[in-house]
Amino acid sequence: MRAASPRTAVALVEAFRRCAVSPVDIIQATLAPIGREDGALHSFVQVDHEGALDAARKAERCWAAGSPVGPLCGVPVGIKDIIDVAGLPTTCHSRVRLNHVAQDDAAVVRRLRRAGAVIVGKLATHEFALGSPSFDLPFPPARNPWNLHHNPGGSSSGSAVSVAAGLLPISVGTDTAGSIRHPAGACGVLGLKPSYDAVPREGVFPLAFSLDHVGPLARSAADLALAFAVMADRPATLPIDEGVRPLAGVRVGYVRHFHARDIQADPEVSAALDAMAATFDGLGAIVSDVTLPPLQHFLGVNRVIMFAEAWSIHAKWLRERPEDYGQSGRQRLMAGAFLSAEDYLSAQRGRTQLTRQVDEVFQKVDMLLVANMLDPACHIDNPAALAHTAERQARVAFNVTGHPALSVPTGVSAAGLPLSAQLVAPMHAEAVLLRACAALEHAGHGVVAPPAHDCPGD
Amino acid sequence: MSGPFEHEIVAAGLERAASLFPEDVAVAFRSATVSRSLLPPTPPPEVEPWRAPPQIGA
Repeated sequence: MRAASPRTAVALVEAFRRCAVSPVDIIQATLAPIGREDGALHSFVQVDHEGALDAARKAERCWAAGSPVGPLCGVPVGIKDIIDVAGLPTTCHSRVRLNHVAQDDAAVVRRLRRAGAVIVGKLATHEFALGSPSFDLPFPPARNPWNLHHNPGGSSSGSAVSVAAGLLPISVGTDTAGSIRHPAGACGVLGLKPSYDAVPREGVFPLAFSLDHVGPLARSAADLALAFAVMADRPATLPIDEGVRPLAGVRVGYVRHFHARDIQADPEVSAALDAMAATFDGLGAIVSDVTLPPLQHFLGVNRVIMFAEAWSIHAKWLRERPEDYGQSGRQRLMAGAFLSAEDYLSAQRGRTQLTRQVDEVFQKVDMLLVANMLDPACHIDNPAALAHTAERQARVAFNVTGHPALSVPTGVSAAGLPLSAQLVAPMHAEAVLLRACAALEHAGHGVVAPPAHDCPGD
Repeated sequence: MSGPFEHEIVAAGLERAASLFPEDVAVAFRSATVSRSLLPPTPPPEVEPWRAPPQIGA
């Protein structure tokens, strides 16, 4: 199912620098597998062949001229379809927005283009970045490249699937209740939800203003660091820390109670988290258990705020044309209609308190190790299993607090599906996460390619 | 249209949705109720609503 020889963005840029390959060659080699393989994966809702080739030719001229180029010059990137790319539709995977064509690039797209990235197309999402994989929308749901029958996670489903399948080295997603980290975990790639507002939200269709985050997905720590630096307009850092104990002295707080007590995780998920804690210990980190407020409190705060803010955006459409929504989105987006101002402000006040409590823990540790999905990915066409697993997750805590959180693979389940964990850092300390991610990669705990599948039905 | 939360449906202006998709509206109502029940205990009065944290360089 994956492309023949997927390369990282860092490897591509190095190859461009040596003139070993040209951006036009790479974009042509990117577009061909998308056309061939995405019919089974459904990770793209729109491929911009002409725009991508134009941008690739421009990148090629820059490299040939020897003029200064951006750090992503000629690198193919995909954009979640709630983020504006000038001239392309921003459908939000919904009938409600089928005819909307973006006039301008979103701020994050402008930054990527300025760095030389080639925007290849728009990637599948859940409707308006909420809900579950749905079969009643204008586009089919994306499929998990590890097993096409299983949920790829969401809502940034296409962003994770395209990267996991090797169709793209980097994609952009958004995360309001875990929508970067869920699909990254389900598809076995890296997904970074940066600190709140570290990446601008201008030009991104909002789900919930105060919980929305924009971030990158990639297959290597170096690519993730590069993409984040561009998207956040920060100096690029080199997260690679060589040596036998690259995390010597780093204090890791293990939030075991989220998955052991608050909501009990699948045993394979728990075992993989314990193994990751042991790996950190082996890399020199000082690992100790820490306690945060109960996971349910974060879930309640996230849901009340998300539903209330989303309702303020969708109320008019849901009153006038509810039939244009899919069932999953309709059920969730209407929940905000039944919340009060008191509910919303209680949640926002509770959020202040929860954030302070997490910040207090960060006085004692440099990073948290936290569960991500509490179960391996379920079947994509099993509504009961989708509903059950949707609430069994530990990601929302850090949408509530705004701390940066990174999904990293922790292995593969007995059924052959990726398992994952979250690493969480103090505000604006993404570099800590990228360093830990690089250390894991060097220790053999990096991203693994999914097995090849012969046909959609296997 | 009738039911235990008819008043809320009218207040929200969701009569059309309730006539077309009564089960979806019921699910949404239950979801709001469950979400409210998960909120942490009410903080002391001096705790203000959350504000976005300062950005680097701000």
